[in-house]
Amino acid sequence: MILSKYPYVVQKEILDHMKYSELFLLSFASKNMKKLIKSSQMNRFQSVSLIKYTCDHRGEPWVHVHYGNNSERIMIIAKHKEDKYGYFQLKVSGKIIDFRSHPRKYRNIRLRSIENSYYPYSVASYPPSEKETVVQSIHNYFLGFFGNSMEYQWEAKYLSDESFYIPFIPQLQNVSFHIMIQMDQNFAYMENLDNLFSLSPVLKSIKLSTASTEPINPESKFYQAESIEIKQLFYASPVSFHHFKGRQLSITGVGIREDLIEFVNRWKSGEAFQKLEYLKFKVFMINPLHNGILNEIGAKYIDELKQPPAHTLPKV
Amino acid sequence: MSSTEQGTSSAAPAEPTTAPESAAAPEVPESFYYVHGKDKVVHKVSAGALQHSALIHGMISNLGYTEEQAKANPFPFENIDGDILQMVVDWCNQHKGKPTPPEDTNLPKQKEKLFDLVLAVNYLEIKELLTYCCKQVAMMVKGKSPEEIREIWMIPTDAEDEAAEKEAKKRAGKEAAGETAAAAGDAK
Repeated sequence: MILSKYPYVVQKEILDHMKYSELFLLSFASKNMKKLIKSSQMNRFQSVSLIKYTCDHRGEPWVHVHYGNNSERIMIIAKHKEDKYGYFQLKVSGKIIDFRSHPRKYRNIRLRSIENSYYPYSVASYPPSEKETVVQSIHNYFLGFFGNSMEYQWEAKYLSDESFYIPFIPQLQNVSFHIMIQMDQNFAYMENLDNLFSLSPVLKSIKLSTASTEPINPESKFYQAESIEIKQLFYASPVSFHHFKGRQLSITGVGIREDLIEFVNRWKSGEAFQKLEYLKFKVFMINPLHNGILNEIGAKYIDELKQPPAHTLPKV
Repeated sequence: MSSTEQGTSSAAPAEPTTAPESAAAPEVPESFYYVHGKDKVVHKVSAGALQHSALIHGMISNLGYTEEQAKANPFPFENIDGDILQMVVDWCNQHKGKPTPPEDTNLPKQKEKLFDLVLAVNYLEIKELLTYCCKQVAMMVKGKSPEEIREIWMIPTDAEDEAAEKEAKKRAGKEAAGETAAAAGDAK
């Protein structure tokens, strides 16, 4: 069967039936094939709104393509391990990377068909020392393949039993980084986290749960994140509002701190925090300062029986 | 199923059904047309089944042939192998007047047969069958590496593509030179 002997409309129809992960692999068959995919699937690629890397505590990203209200997993990037099905090598943005397909395991062999014998996505593997360069090569290939007009997002988040981890944040072009971390009183962990912020690009958003009172370095890029969401267990916090340089700040905690008065008044007067457009405090316990602070910042009470004013929070 | 006039099995032309007494209007007898492929075996197909093919439907819609005229003028599809045309006719008959299901598992599994079927179906403009066939072709490369896909679909390597392009340019150059020389000869 010679695919190139089909008219263009037929070639397009065949490619229309392939998943993004399959088109990705097919693009390595030849330069002309890559051109055919890009020209025939232009409309489909334009419907892609987001390519998202999601990392857990192991820092092994899962890559999803988001289109319309759907998403498709196209790849897992994971540490190299022996595989009985073997690897095939692809030259991705100039770097040779080992890939393997991902067969499904069936208890009932009768359920197996050509269509569902394999997970549609492949696994790209890296030796530990080459993790970042492998991820960079794949990302650079995506930029050329899918184009750079869509959003690329990197999200690092913890699983509940692996809370205190240092997220893996590679240096990638055109990517917004979102992380979810937990802090405790462990000094070494804090130091590593500080180091991470100094080496990483400015993050788009940080969700932080903290039981630590050890202050975060005021010069840290932590404070440059566009959105910070903090859940703090103690009254004292590692976060100083005054260093915040982003657009959105949300704090959930045990009580309202006194330094909030100065922060809010400086923001309201336009003296500082000009970029800040949204501030939210959620308090678990009312402390003695509560009403005093609310009066000082000019907070208005909302009658719970009335419809509160609506505020649409721009998505970060 | 189709009936064939030569060689293969033949079925009696469908008789017009008798309209029930309660029906307001009598049913119009179904008209039939005849097609043949490279092997000249003629297939008798109802107009209803042929509606799947936009090409044939377009051809027959204004003909107004009588049964005899249709029989005497089978549509020749010399570019389609007989067994492939048989598959197409069978499919059209099986799906006559029915909504097409989302899957079709009766397509040929052999690569070359499927390849020829796709070309025929595309030529005859049978949209639903083309969709099934293309899906089946796409399915052939599931879970395969780019190298395996290249083998299955016979995709030329970059080096082969470059060599073919060079050859095409060379040929075009020679043809252009030949035309120029011929034009100069004519002018003399």
